[in-house]
Amino acid sequence: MGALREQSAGSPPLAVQLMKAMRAYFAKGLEILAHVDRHAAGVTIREGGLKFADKAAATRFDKMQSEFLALYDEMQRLSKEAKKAG
Amino acid sequence: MPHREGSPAAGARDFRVAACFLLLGVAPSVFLAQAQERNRDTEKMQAIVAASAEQYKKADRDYVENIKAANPNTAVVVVVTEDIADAATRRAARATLTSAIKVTDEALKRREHILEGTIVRSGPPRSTRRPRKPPWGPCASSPPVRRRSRSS
Repeated sequence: MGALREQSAGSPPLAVQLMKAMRAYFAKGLEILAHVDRHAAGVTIREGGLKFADKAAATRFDKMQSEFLALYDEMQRLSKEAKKAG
Repeated sequence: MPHREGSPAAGARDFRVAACFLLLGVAPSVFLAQAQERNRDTEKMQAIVAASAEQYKKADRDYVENIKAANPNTAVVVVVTEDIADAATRRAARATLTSAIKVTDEALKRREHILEGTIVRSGPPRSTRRPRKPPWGPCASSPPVRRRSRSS
């Protein structure tokens, strides 16, 4: 019966991986919202996109957006795997 | 040639008889008892795993329901569009995402509890279990503890 304990010590099941990926995705969303909150005074909408008065803030925003999309891709991949596994 | 009672030859014969008795009588019954114990362990394990699988399924179904109720998609759309510039929209999105994170944390915690429960019910690993005493007597490796005599 120790086998169960050993199994549980390995990589987590797909459902757990998916939940953790979703959590990371939501958390990144919150991080982006907080970032925009912090620089709200210097934010304008131009050419259908967000423009920051502070260049560093703009760079950080772009980085966080790409991280957000990467987390979305990871979530989609795990979701497809989970569907395949049934 | 018949051996006389109490002679060394008779003692050796008695020892052989006792050894045969152990080999043919006791050893198979010990082996059978151990096999039966293994079977019981396997059945118990299968029942625990089946029960846990059912609990996991229910937990996952509940998570899907709860995350649907939290509806994080609207908040996600806010994050990737120009709607993020609006303070009130951001506030609403933050509340939604916080709720979705809470639901996910609860689901992860629930899964952890199921796993812990399964491990507790399935018992410690076989290697860490105390060896069973043999049926024919106390374990020779653990002599009885001598009590101190009171001296005063």
